[in-house]
Amino acid sequence: MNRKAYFFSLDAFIALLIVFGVVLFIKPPSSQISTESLVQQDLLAVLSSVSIGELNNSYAKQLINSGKITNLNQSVLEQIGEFYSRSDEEAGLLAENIINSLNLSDNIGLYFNGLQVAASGNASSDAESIWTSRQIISGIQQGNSTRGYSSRAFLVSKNKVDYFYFGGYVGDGNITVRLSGDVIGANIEAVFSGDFDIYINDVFADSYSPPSGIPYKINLADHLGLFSTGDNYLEFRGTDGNLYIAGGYIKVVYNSSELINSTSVKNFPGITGLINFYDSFYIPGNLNSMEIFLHYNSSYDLFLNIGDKRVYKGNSSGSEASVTIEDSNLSGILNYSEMGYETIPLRLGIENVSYSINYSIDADVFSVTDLSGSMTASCDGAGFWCCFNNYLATGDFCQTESSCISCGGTWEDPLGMAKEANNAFIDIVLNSSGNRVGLVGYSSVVDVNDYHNLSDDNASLKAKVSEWDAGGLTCICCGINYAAQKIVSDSREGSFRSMVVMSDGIANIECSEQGTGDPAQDAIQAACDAYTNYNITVYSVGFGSGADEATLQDIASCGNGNYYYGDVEGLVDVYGQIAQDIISASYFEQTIMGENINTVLYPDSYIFLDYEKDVPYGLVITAETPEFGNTISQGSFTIPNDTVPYEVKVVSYSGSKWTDRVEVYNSSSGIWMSAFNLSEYNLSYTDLGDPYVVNIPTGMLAYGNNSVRVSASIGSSNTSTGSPYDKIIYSLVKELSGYSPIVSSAEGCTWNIEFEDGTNSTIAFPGNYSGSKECYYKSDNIAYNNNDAIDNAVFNLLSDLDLNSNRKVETKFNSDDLTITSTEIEGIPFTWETEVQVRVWR
Amino acid sequence: MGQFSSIRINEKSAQAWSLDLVVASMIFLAGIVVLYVYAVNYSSQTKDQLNELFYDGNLASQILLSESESGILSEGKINQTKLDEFFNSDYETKRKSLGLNNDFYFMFDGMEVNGTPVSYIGKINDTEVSSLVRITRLAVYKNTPKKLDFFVWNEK
Repeated sequence: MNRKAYFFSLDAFIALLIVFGVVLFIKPPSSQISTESLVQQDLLAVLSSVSIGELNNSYAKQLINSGKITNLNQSVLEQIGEFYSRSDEEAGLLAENIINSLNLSDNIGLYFNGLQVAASGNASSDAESIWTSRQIISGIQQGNSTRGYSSRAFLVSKNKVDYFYFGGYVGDGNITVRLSGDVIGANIEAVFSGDFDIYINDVFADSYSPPSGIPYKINLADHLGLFSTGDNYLEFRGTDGNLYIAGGYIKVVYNSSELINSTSVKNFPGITGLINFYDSFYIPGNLNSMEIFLHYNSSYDLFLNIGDKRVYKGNSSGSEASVTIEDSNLSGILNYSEMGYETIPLRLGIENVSYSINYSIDADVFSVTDLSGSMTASCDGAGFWCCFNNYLATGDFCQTESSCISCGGTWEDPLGMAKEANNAFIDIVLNSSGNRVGLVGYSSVVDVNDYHNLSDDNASLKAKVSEWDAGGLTCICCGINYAAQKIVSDSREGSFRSMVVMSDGIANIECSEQGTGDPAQDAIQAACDAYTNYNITVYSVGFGSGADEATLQDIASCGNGNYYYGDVEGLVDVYGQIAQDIISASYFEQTIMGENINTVLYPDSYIFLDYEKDVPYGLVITAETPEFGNTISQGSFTIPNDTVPYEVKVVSYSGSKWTDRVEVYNSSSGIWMSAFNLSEYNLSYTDLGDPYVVNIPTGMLAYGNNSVRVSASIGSSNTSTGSPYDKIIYSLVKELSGYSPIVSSAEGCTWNIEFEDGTNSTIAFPGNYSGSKECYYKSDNIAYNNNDAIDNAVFNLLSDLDLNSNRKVETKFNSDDLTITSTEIEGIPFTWETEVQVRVWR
Repeated sequence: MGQFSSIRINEKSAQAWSLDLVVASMIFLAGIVVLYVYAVNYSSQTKDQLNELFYDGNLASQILLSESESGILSEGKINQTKLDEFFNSDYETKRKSLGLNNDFYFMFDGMEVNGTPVSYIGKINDTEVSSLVRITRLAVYKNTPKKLDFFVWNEK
């Protein structure tokens, strides 16, 4: 009974032992916990610290040997990144090979921008815990290169461009210029007094017939073979007697790398005939010393004036003489301290010869204009029915511009253009003080209502022009006779008498004064009579396709004038040109009228100048503005901020006058500053030099826009505007290097470049580029590969050389002048970046 | 009377069984409570111990795989000279340099010290280990990425 009472206790005790036994049996011998993995950060460090070239991995070696890996210096991570950026499967294969070789117990994966590149173990989608380490690597992006290139392009001055400037007047005779060096290009622009031949090194090159009073341009490209290395002599031989050059220059390209220096030699032109030289020179710094060498032959006294000081007078008694005027003598005559940064007039001539220097003569000129019916405005090409309907509806025979155009026609208004041309003519001729203009309008006869007497009243003359109407036949001789009669009666003694006869048709009315029985012959004879009997020069203008050009040419020939042709669009320009010719013809101040005087100035004569000047470092870029093209002779140019102005020259085609004032204006000064004033010299202008080139001191200039205006005159009390052909030639120094950003390639391109002088070149950069890629820097097209370092650098350089940003390059060069350096850059700071992740999961 | 006696006898027997059941229940419950308390305390103590070892081990492995004076890396790779020097120092110095109070050893494939292959560096005692943690790290040795197992343990 009592034994039974122990049963439950014993049973519980046994059960408890069993529980303890089971617990002890199933209890593990050790405890395990899971902690954070450090493998992911280690893997990034490992892949970043060992280079692919050093990596002891058979698969990597295999890739190196196969050429798939070329840059052995980049890290393993960068190499995988490069494969990834190229979407190359080797990225995953290489990474997996490395990961698997580690025998990790955890699952691990390498990710670029969240995309799995390689993994080992189970899929991460089943993971309970994931640890991630991240690293940003720059310069890698899928589809882009991981290597970059930067290029630099710069010009080296293998060719030197130099200008030989003629003076304001170089004459009278054959003119020779010495050009020393290996000439590879030469262009001439100058005003010549007549026809001439060019000889290069005494060998005939070509003949030229320049227009009167207008700058004439010659390219000697076809005659470069006549030049030789060393001294070359370019000679202008007049074919109609003594020649003179009224301003101009020769732009010469030398095969030379000569640098800018602080000494200057100004060569005199050679003159064989009558030494009559008006010029100037500029000293771009403080003058230290100077020396003059004159090599000449003259029986007459030769004089040399610098400014208003006479520094030499002497003759060689008809034999050759070489004279050196030493600095010691010159410094005693000239005030060097006042000569720095000044344009100094230079006058070389002969004295005591039987030549005369006339002052200006006023011009009295008539404009004789055809007002016949053919000058009436009309509608060309309009539909007949359209106009017919118009007529029915409005009574309009297409005789208004609007109805003409509405009928599909072209409105032509010869009379309107003639009026406009006459107005321009009046402006130009009256721009020079003392000149007068008269007006004669003719048709079947000369209507006194279409006449205006010789006058300098601009407004009155233009008012008369505006009254003109067209109608009737064409009596050219009537117009000539009437104008001649009025000139004879009204013109001043000694004035330059002339008339401009314009016609758009055929003469069909005779004149009893000539009585040839033929209207055209009467017109020709009227011109002959005017010139022969009254010394009236007759110029003629054929206007439009219906003009009787043969008759008009004979009129000009017999009237000792020139014949011009103008269409509806060009008539204004023609009248402007004639006005200039008449003005030029009315001045003889700088022309020696002597005959049978034989003197020689040899072209080895020079002025040597030594001056102090800071020579800026960089490439000198020389640019020209367009011709001013206006009667106020004012132009402007821009100095970019990243340049240093080196030389700014205003070239003045003053004709037979003197360039007497040059002024400059910019926003910095706010006023017109005088850069040159000839009237400050206390001599008659005939004893002073006439600058063709006036330098503007760089201290007067400001960055940005600078305006320049020029005036010309025959004396200090008489002034008028300069020539519309004036322009500015300016040199800027710029440290030029075109740099590229770091981009993915550096191959080069064949560039098509438009230069400021209108020429085009096709140049491969670099010189050995043989690909098919075409790049453009032209006014109508800019195109290049923005991801090519060389193209980038060349484009940036061309932009720098394009001073006025008109997509035309100022400085002409070829592939030899351009140096390109290209550098391959690693570890490039591309703007794009990629996040690399290593994930470990369990 | 006999029947009555029989009933009394049965009542005593039931009381004994009841008492036995109560005692048995108390014994069983006490045993379960003791077991529970033991189990809970033992588990927490072990976990704390392992966490401490992991913490120490992480720090020690960071020091070991660093370019500091106590580390064996240069330019991100295991420097053989530093490894030799570490190996040549005595065990206590090694432990102190790694900031460890516990014992440690580490190993990786291909390890050589002083020109001789070695299987591990540190101290191993198979029989006296109470707790042991393994921290897996990666390093570059002889230009080969290697898995480095760093063990920290304490004695019983």
